[in-house]
Amino acid sequence: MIHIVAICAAILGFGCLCAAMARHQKDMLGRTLPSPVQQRFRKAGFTLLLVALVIDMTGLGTAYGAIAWFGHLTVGAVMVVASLTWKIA
Amino acid sequence: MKESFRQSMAWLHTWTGLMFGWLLFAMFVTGTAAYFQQEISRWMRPELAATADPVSATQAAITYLRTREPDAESWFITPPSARNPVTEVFWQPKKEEGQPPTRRKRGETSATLDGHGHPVTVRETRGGYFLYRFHFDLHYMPVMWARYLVGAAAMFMLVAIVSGIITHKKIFADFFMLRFGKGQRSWLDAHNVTAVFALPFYLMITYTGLVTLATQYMPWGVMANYASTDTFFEEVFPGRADVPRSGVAAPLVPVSSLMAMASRSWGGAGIGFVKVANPGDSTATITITRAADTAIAARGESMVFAGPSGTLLDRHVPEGGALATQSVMVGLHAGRYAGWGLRWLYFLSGIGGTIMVGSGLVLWTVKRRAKLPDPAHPHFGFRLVERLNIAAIAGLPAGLAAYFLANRLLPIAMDNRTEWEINSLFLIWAGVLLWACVRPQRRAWVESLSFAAALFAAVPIVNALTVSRNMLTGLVTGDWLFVAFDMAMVTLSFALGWAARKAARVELKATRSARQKSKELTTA
Repeated sequence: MIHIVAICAAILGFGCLCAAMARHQKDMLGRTLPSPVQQRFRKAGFTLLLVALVIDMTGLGTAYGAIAWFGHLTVGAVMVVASLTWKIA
Repeated sequence: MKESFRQSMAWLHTWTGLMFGWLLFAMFVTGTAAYFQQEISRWMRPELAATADPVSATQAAITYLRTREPDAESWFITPPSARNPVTEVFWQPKKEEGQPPTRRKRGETSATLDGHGHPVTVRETRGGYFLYRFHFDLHYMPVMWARYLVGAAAMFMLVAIVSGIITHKKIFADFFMLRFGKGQRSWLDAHNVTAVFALPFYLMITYTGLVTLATQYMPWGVMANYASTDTFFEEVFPGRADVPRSGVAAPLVPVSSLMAMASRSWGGAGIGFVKVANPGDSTATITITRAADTAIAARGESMVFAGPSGTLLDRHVPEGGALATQSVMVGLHAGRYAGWGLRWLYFLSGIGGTIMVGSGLVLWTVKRRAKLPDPAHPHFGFRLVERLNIAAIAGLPAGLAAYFLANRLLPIAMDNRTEWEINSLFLIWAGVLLWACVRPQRRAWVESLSFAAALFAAVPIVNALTVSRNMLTGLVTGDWLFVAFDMAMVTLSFALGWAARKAARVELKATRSARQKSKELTTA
C-alpha cells in the first residue's frame, strides 16, 4: 500500500517537473506556460518527491524507506516518460 | 590540439563501455534474475509444493541426520523459509584416520528434506542459484579468474558511469525525452533515459558489487596485518575452533527452544542456519545464525549453545564501523532483506541497467555506421562489434530460455542432468553467436531476436505439457509463483518479439533503399 501511495506521489512529482520544462509543455498541455507558473510547477514537483520520501520513511522505516524511495522515483519517472511518449505517438 | 575535458570523457565512456559491455550485459541479466533466485529454483523443482514450519522441520532434519550420519564432524541445516519450502542439509563426514580428506560428490554429503525429515525426490537442478553464481563466478573457468574479470568489468562500469554523466551532460535536461523511430537519436534517448532513471541504483550496485569481493581485489591491508587471509576471517567472523570428540555419548537437547530463544533475542527474526558440531558427543555445540532477510546488514549474528545441556556458550555480534559499513553495502547489493515490493523495484532497476548497457552497445555501431568509408562493407573491428552485440543481446536471453526448457525436457533420470541444463544455456548462446557470424547483420538481428522470443513463448507451453502446475492451475489454486513465472516468460517473449519487429522494419527499409539505389544506378 505504501509502495502504491509513494509511487503515485512520485508520478505526480515528475509530472509537475515535466510540465515545468518548456520543451514538454506543448506535448503535455497543448500550450506553453508563463514563467511564474513554470516556477510553481517546479516547486510543486520537488515538494511532491519529498512527500514521497516522507511517506516511504514513515511507512516503511527510515532506512528501508529511503532505499525504496529510489525505486519509487524510478517507477514514477518511467510512468511519466511512458505516458508522454505514448501521447506523442 | 588539446582535447576538451568533455571530449576526453566521451572517449573514455565509449571505449570502457565497449570493452566490457558484453560481459556487463551478461552480469546485468543474470544478476537481475538472481533477485528471484529462490523463486526460479522453486519453479525449476516443481515437485516441491508444501512449505513447512522451520522449527519442527529443523528438529525432523536432526532426527534424519542422527540415523544417517551419526558420526559426522558436523551437520549444517538450512530450515525452510517463506521463499524456500524445503530443508537443505549437508554434513562434513568423519575424517578417516591417517587418510587425506577425499572429495565427495554433492549427493553423498547433502540431502533435501521435507518438513517431516524425509528426503524428497526432486529433479536435479542448480536452479536460480546457478544464475546467481554465474553473475560473479561465470562458468567453465576457475572461479578466481572469473572474479578478477568480473571485478575489472565492475571497475570499468564505474568509470563508464562517471564519465557517462559528464559526456551525456544533457541527461538531466533531456530527462523525459524518449522519441521512437528517429534512428540514432532514438538509441541515444533510450540510453540516456534508462541511464538517468535508475542512476542512483547503478552507482550503488556497481560500487557495492566491488565491495563484496574487496578482500580479493585489495588484499594488501589484510596481508600487511595477518599471517594469512584465513586468520583474518577467523578473527572477523569467529567460528568455534574444532574440538575433538570426547567419546562420551550425550543426546542433543531439542533444538526448538534454542531456536525460539535466538529468534526472541533478535526481535523475532527468522533462523537462517543451524550447525551442529560433534553431534551425539558430550562436546557437541549448536550454532544458530540469524536469517539474512531480516536486516539490511547481511552479516548474520549467531549464538552458540552446548549440545547436551542447551546452555548459551557464546554469542557473536559483528563489531566495528568498518564491518558494519561493509555488511550494509553487501546487503544493499544482494537485497536479501527486501520484501516483495522492494524486490520488484530491484528487479525493474536491474532490467533498466540491462537495457542501458544493451542500448549503449548498439549505439556504438549506430553512431559509426554512417561515418564508415564504405557502409556496405565495414572493416573487421566494426563487424566484430556488430556480431558480438547480437550474440550478447539476443543470444543470452535465448540461452536463459533454453535453460528453463532443458529443466522441463531433459529426462529426470539422466546422468549429469544438472550439468546438461547448464550446457544447454551455453550451447544455445554459442549457436546464436555462430548464426550471427554467418548471416547478414540485419537479418541476424531479426532472426536471433525472433528465436529468443519463440523460446520464451515455448516455456509456458512446455511447462504445461510436462508438469501439473502452470498459470491456469495456479490461478485456480492460488499458486502465484507459477502464475508470475508464466507471465514473466510471456512478457519477455513479447518484449523480444517487439524488438524483432522493429529490427525487421529497419531491415526492410534498408533493403528497399538499397534496391532503389541499384535501380538508379542501372537506369543512369
